[in-house]
Amino acid sequence: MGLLFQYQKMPIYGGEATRVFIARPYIPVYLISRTKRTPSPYYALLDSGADRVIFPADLANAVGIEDIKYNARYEPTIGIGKQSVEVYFHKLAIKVLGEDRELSTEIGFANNFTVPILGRSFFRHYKAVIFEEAKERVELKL
Amino acid sequence: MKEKTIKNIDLGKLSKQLRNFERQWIAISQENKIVANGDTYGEALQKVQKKDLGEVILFKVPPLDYSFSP
Repeated sequence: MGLLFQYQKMPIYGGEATRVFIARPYIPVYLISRTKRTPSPYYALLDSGADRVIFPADLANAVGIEDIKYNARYEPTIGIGKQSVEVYFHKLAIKVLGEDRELSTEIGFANNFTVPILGRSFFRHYKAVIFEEAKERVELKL
Repeated sequence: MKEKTIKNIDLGKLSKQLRNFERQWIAISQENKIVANGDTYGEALQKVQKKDLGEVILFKVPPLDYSFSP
């Protein structure tokens, strides 16, 4: 038993007028705090190379967190390009569209963060996360 | 609360329009149309609610000149 999501194809221009397409494993999720849930779901990217769940700071605001630094755990994060980001973590929950469970997860927020990322601290809620590249889909095994 | 369905959402079909919304949030209707945008999730959603545009899913459009590495 599991949840299946087709990859979403995104254009990459690479500075050129013509584009190529790349398929990415985006899945629709809600963010949940003690008092609020994002009214509509949004796409977040499954990233098996990321340790943590990190979202743009405006999503914190959407669930009632006005200041991401307040009552947060600070942890700097670095990408493969060695660009560091200041991330502030809060204990919240995520709900995947189509699933009943609310998944308690430490979620980091960062300013100027362009892609909501679901790293492996999210993956642990599933028996397996299977990327089927040939079929361009991902399965979250329950 | 009634949940949304995403069966018709296909970002690939919106690829030409996405170029106009890089780094912004967009709201996509169940008919796979971009119905609102904003600099934040809240701003985009507020436009949807103000115009009573129905059920949507939001997407933050990444920079489209780059592929991703972790």
